[in-house]
Amino acid sequence: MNKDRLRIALTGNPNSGKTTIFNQLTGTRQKVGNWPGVTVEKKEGTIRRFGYELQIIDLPGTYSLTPYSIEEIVARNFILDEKPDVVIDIIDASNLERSLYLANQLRELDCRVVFVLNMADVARARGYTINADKLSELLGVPVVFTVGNKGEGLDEMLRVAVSSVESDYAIPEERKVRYSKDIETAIFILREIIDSAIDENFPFHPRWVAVKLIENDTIIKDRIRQLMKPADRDAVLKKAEELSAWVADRFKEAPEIVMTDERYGFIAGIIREVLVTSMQKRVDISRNIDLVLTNRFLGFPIFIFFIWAMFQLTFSLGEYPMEWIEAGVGGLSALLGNVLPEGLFANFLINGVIGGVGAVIVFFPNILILFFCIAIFEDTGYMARAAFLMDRIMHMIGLHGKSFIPMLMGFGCSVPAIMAARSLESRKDRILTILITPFMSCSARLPVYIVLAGTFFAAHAGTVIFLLYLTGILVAILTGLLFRRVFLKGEEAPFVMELPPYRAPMLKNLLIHMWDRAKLFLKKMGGIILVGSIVIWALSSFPREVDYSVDYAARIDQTRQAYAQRIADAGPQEEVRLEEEKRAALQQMEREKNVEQTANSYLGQLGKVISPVFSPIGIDWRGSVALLTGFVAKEVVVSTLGVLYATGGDETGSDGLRNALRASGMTPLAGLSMMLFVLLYLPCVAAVIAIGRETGSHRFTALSVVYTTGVAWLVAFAVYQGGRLLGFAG
Amino acid sequence: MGAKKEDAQGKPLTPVMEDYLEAIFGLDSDEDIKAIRVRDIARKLNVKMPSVTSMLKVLNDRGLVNYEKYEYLELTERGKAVGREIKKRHHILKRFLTRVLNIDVATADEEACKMEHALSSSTMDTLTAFMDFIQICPRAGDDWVERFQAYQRQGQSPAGCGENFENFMCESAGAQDVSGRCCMEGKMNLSQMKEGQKGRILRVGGEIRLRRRLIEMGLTRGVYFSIEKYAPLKDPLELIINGNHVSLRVKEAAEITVVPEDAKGVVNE
Repeated sequence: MNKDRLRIALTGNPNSGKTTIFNQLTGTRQKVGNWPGVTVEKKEGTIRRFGYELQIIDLPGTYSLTPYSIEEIVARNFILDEKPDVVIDIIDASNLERSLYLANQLRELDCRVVFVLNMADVARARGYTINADKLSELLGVPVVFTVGNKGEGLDEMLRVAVSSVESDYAIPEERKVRYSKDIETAIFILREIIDSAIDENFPFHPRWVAVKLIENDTIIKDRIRQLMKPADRDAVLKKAEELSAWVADRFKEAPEIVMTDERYGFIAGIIREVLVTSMQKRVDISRNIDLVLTNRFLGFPIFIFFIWAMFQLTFSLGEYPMEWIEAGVGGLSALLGNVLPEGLFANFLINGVIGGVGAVIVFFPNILILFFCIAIFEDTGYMARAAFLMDRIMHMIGLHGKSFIPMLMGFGCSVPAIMAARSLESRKDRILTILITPFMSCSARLPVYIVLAGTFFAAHAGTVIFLLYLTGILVAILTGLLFRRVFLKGEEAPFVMELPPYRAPMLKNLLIHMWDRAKLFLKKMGGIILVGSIVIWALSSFPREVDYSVDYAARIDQTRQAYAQRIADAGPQEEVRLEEEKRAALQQMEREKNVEQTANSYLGQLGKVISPVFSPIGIDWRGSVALLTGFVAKEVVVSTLGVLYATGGDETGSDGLRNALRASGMTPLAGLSMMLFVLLYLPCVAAVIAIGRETGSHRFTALSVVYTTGVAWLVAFAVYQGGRLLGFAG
Repeated sequence: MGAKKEDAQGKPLTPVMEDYLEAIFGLDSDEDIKAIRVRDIARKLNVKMPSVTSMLKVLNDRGLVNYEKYEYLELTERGKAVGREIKKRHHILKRFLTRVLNIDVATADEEACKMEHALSSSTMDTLTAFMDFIQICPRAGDDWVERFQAYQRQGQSPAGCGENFENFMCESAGAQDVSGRCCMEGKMNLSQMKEGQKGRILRVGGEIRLRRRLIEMGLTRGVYFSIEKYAPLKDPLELIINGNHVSLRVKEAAEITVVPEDAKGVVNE
């Protein structure tokens, strides 16, 4: 071996402590990305040890290497195609039997493996004694003990891994899984044919290929089709099918089931030799916790409390940094406004760039806190319990218990919510969850409700807003049922899930998990929002010179002169009042000018073009423009309305906008219609991009945009026109 | 079956003769050796060459080998059959000694050599079946040996293992009818079990990918489990298997056949 760069892949069951070990090894030097073509997170990090550069790749946690889920396919393909120098299999020492299943599949795969018995301290405390030497001897693989969260044994683990590469050790044939006579015969026959069809360049171990073909592994069949000459591959596949049918007939059972059973048989034999359990009567803390947390009566109230606490924390604690950032952004704009000469560039920088980025940055503290809470739920093991509690309800609308979390997060922000749908195993479940998540009313829509409901339903604003949230949930449920019926038909993913023991989370892990996601959010979404807001800014600022109905410059001059005259004439007390009046008059004129400019800008023109679409739902051209700008981020609707109604301030609480809205002749019914539209219509740019990335399909992205907007229009239309028919002021 | 441990005239063979036939058969099946020479046999059995020659004469007279002095040597059909049988016995005995009794290889080899002549054919056949059995049905229940008897009774098709198991589970649960036939009234679906009830998995059914996943997660045949709880809305349910907590939906649990620990009570009703 004269390489100075080794690639080490980490595998292991979910909850085996693999991620903790990975975090301990790589710390902050990790790269998070996606595996090509799928939305499974890929984590890797590089460290220097023993004179090598060790590239450590964290494979997804799996129970097996059968092509059952994307994670398993990803993990297996990586080992098959990328051929890492060594694979480290992290085994939960207190869960040896099940962990050995994956471990044995790795051995069958003929890659270089090191077994790591992790959480050795927990296993010992539970009265398990594992004879590691015996295990190592029986399996023909080096075995190391570690305590991942304390970092014990990790150096030894790497040392053994490196030396196993240096020694070029291979697992002896006789140490591998032996199946029963009939299956071994089938493997032998098939292997002979395979052996005669391949040369030394064939990338896989022939025995393993024979096993997989008898197991009807479709992915391996495809590989064979690509790798072998037509004549050979036909012979191999035909024989494989024959043998597979023969095994099925012999055992009256599908070959893969028989072989899974026999692997467990093999493991049971090993367990008998290496594991001694001293049955201590011990208190199972995790079980006791669950007696309360998933209790028949207490389970739901506690769950609701946790969720409430999460949102409370997110929004109340997040408010402080939010204010600081707002102040900072405001200060920066003001500073630039003073320093830069007034003009197009200053306008671009202040309104286009800073305004746009500021809109995202402001939500960043909230998102950090939200992700931190989610990381706590995940790392402690509570997330699985939440799915356990919610599955019945979610299943009624054709979803999985785990879909609940993304939907819940949708109340905060759709972007991380859509990303959270990754935890769902089945593609159909994931897509359905992603498609209905935008109906959960995100926090950016709240400012819009506050202004409109505050204006038109002053006394009942709270109730109206609450009903809007409920409407969103209802539409989500109906959409779920509809989509499940129409095009996401078929097998729902089974709800087979491990409820891992509760564990105290490690701060380091929590922070890493939080930051990984937050970083992704900042990187991908920040850029898009920036571009989006620049586009909207450009559309609303050009053309610069419009034909004003009035000569504002002349009017401003006139007013100035008139006031100058009056101030000169008036006494000292009068003077202050007149100054005030003059400023107000000038501001009013400036605003009127802005309104006219915006109205005649490209954006305004666009708004007028599409306003016939919105007039049946009671929204005028100004509303249309505001809704268009809401595509960048929904809270922008409010600031656009502020500009268009010439109220100056764009703060949500400002009475100016409310008065202007009321004065414009907009009715409560129209206000309700507009709120419903904002609730349901197309998600913001960032969310649309997230949908595109996570579904990996343009069709579903387009569907989401068209469907949400269509539903929004229909609901608003039904409410507005129905309300008019019923005689509410129209 | 049974060994043809006699010569063409029906006279019994001595252990030494059998050893010679075994050795010659071994050399004969070795493809690297083109002709079998007296020297090879002597080395293999650790005896002197003249002893080999005299024994070969005896074997020749009894129609087990064709041998002319300084000419080539070959086994007759009968000689081959005996050699093969002894070699097989040696192999099975050695396997039994090393794998089951955990005796080291050298000792096992030596003792298998002695045992192979002494055991009767029927004992040998039983031992062969037993070795096959432990390979095919590796995880049996507590009454593993009893199950082996059932295995012999029912013939040795590997498919018998599943039925066997069901019978075994049934017997251990006491769910037999008057004629002793297994009626398995005690068995039920996992979804019918109550909170806190214990039992053993008999069969995992349902769609194949789900079955595979369940087996991979430890729901193997015969494994003990207990129902930890049902979710507050009665679905899904939580099982404890080998100390792991696994949840699945009631619909999925309905495809899993189990034998509850108190199955006897069910039958007696």
